[in-house]
Amino acid sequence: MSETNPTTDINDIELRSSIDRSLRHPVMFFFTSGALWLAVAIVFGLIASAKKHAPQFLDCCSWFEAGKIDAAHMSALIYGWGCSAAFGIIIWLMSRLSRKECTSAGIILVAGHIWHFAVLAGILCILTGNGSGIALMEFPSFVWPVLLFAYVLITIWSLVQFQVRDAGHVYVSQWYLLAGLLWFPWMMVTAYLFVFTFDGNPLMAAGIAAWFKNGLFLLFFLPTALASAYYLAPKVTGRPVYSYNLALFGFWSLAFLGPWAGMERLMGAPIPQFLPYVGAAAMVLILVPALAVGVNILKTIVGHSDVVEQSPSLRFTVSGIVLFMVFGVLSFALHTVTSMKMTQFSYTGYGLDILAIYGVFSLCAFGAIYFIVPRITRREWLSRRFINWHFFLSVHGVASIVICAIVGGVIQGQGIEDLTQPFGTMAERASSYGWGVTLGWGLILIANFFFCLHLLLMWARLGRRSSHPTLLQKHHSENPHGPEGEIDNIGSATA
Amino acid sequence: MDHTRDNPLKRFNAFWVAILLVTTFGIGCVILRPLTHGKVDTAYETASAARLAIKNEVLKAEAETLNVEALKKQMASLAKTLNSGEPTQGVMPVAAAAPAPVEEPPVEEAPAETTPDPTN
Repeated sequence: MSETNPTTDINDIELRSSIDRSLRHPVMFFFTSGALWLAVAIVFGLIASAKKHAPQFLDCCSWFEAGKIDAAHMSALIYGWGCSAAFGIIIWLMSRLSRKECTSAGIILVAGHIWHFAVLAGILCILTGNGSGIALMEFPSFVWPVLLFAYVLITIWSLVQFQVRDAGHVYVSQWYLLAGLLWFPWMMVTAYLFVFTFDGNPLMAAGIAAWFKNGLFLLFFLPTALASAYYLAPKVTGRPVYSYNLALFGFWSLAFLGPWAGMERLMGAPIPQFLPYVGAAAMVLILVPALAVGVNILKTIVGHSDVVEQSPSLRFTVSGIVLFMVFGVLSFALHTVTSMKMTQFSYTGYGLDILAIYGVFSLCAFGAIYFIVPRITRREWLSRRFINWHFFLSVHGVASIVICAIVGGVIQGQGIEDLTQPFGTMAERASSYGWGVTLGWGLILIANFFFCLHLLLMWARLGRRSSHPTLLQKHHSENPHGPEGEIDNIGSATA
Repeated sequence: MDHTRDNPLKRFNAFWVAILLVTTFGIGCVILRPLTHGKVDTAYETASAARLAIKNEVLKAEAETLNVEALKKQMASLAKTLNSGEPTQGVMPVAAAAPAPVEEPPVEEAPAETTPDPTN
């Protein structure tokens, strides 16, 4: 199962194999623990969504109060699943692209455990009512330095690998990885200091928390997803990236616009008025990098629709990139002054958040996981049906959530603005769309049951010991991942 | 491929440069904040200044009118009188001992019939 062409040098294959072996334990740890966090986040999301249209649901336990479960849901999704998947992708991709084995797998594993214990402590604090109470940064203050410490221990080795890489070309994926690696600590240190350490106006603390939340997606999750897409699209199709200049433009436009976004969540609040407007303008202009990246990736794979149909990695990745373009269009439409009046205090923001974290990042991350895991476990995925179910239920689930939350949110916002109607009318209008969101989380829960089970079987090394990769169509004339036989020929995966 | 870029010294340097880079973000915030965070007159602080002025004026007026020495002297003589007094049995007030008579409302006469009885 080589990723390039039949004439690949055997030394290069051995080097890649040794890199995979060196990273097997930390990468599988991050992927499997992330999948378990994703299951927790989805269950929390299901409860939180049900409580929006049936407030009496699970009202017997104070842990499941609406405010707590909503915060726990988003925190588990972002810090439990999102960060774990991103760490696994970052350390594997940077090692592969820098052509350097990982010599610190043990430290990364320990740091990964510290990260997960900190997230667990934070979520338990939220559920028991001991969260910070600051919207979008609900973990208590003691959790953040621990997360930062663990982050540094996990990712610093990737920065070292980049620095000592063999001289030569720096790949597009490496730009995004390097930028994401540095943007994350910048945002976390700044947000932690200004929200929890320095004394300041609480309103500005809320604004900084909103900036941090948006920054996490635009400057950490999105670069990781795009690095994966820029790696997988040329790798699986066997073609170079369509336009290097367009990739450069997409990268710098994201780097320029990303740090400005976030404050639009406080539109109308008594803070300096230019801040929400600058944030809204940045969110409108996110359409520019979305189109640049989307066109570049889609042009790279154009003419290879059969490969997209067959390869699980590419199918998930292309779906994620298409949803990134949808995110750009919706962000453009929903952050104008007139539309923000309708959407600011409605479900719309939640729909956009889920589109970003699950629709864009998670689909690209699933694509990367379907590509990476067979290489580090030396086993192939067991079932194409599991992958198919995971894909279709995920796409339908996220579509249901996003459409219901955004359309329902706009209708809810119209109800709020219509002063001739009682307030209850607005709530009634929104609750019917809440059912759609709950249904969407139900679909995603089933999808991730297949994914989680499949991944745990691979982790237990129960995958197929075959030289034929698991493709999504039974009859295929040509293997899109290159010639077969690499797995068995290179030897065992014991680290 | 050039392999001379990878050596222990290079890795050591890269590690500490990365650590420094991360800590620089925090150090930058600590340094820049006092430079950018000027004096801000919040509504609370403005109101508190007016309240403190009134409070000081009241305290000053009280201090001027209050003769603490005379009060202490008076309290001492009053305490001496109370200490020297014999306890006596309390007497229930007359008004409280006998309940007040209940006033009965005056009986009003029945109103004159103004409409004819329909059964007649």
